[in-house]
Amino acid sequence: MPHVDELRAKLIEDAGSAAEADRLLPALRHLADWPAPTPTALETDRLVQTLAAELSAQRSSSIVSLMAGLLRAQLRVVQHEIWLASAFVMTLGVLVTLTLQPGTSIELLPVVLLAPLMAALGIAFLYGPAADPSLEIELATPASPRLIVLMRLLLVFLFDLVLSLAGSAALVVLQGSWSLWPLVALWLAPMTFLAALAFLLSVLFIDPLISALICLVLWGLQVLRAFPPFAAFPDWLASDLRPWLWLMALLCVSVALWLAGREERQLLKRI
Amino acid sequence: MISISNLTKTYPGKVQALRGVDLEIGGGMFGLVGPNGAGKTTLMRILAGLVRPTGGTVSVLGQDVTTPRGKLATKAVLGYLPQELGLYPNLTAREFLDYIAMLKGVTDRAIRRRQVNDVLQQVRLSDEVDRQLKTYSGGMKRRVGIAQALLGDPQLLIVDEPTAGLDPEERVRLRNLLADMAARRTVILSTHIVEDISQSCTDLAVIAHGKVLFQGASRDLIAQARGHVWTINSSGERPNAGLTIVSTLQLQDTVQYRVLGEPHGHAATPVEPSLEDGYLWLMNNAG
Repeated sequence: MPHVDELRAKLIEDAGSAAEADRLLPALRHLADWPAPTPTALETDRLVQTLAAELSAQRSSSIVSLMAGLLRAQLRVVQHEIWLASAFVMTLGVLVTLTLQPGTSIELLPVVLLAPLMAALGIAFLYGPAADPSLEIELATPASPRLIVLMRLLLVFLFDLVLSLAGSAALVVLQGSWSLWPLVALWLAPMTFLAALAFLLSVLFIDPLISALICLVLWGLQVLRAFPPFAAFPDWLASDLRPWLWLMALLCVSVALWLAGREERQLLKRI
Repeated sequence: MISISNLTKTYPGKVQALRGVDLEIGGGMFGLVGPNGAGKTTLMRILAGLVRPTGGTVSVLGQDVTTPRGKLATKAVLGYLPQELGLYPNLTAREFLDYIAMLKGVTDRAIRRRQVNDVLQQVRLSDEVDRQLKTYSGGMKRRVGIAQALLGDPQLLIVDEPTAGLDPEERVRLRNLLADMAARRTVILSTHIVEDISQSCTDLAVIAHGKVLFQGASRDLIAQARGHVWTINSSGERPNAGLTIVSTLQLQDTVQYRVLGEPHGHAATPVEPSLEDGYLWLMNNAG
């Protein structure tokens, strides 16, 4: 045990005055002589449980802040052209729709036909060598590659969703021929499915062009359904098909996320 | 610190990248040298938990990299600079490093900012932080690569061909930077440039065709070539078969060749081998 003078000198250093040190000295000497009780097994268990609960709470809060941070970070990482192109296409769609004669079939409105395609093309370019050039660095971090692409997908899809909702709302207000919900219900399920398919295809082929091309052809068939040779193709805008489109969208995203987590495949496919 | 035993890796198409690699790597700077296609990048990627080995065991800081839990634990203490350094061209250095710090789990903005400033200072890029990465030179991009690897103060730093494509001045700067980093951690430097190893690593391994041909101290590799390195001055033909010409120096009237092998029939002067001589001698004898 240090000498009393040494203790006092240290106390003066910490407390800043001799008077304060002299006031604290007896307490310090008492503590130095105090035999700390050994905790029982029950007390140790209780301490471990308390700490485990606190650590678990901290871990979940750090996952939430990681997700929020990742979502924000994707704003900078995602190629700016995607935002601009989507906004341009939707604006164009709304303007063209406004020039149409009243009474045009709701299923043929440019906004309805453009919303799914816009989302699919944007999402097709979310994955691949040009979209994530630092993939190898990202894979070497403890962050889950699935979480990273999921946040990226969410961000772009939400952006396209808001754009399409705004475009539809603008039409309802400016044109007045349609109600908002029937208009939104028409493009929402096809848009979600086509976007999910684009995501799956770009993760599968690691080539945005292949993904974009396949989506373009598939959606082209839907647009061409108005013409007799293509009328036999299933109508993605039909309300009875919507539950299936939602289900397939979920399936596509699940498979894509599973593939995105296979690090070796993702690296080797880019060589 | 890192223990690799009988490691194999076969890619689809039966391409054998690693054929039973055994290595023990301690602290400080460790060099991994070998020709292109030797399996160095595959080995680095396995150590970083990016590629799954076909067989064998790999332990990094006591963690088995082949298990999901071990892989995650390894990534938590790892700084990694890949051979193909891809950066987001429209981000500034600060934005890019901030993003990578977030992926490394630094969710607190203030801590992230401090760490980013620290590593930028270490790689001497503090004055260029707000420029887009697409405006950076090759050397500056490599330094950003090193900076991102240093985020989170990793215990293990893996750098794969960091000096490729850099001018001599940048190469020296980067080598010195890595040597500084090795004072407090293990740094594995993988390269096909022997000079990079000779200037910065005391321990190294030579790898070729997926096998380790040598592991030990640089001086031991140099010693293998002792007595087999010569200079030959010739005004006529090049030294004949059986000799490996390491360098050719055009003098006023003659040409001076530095050769490896047994110079029968030539007036040759023995010279002290360099690490490059030791490396070439080893590769020659390995066939």
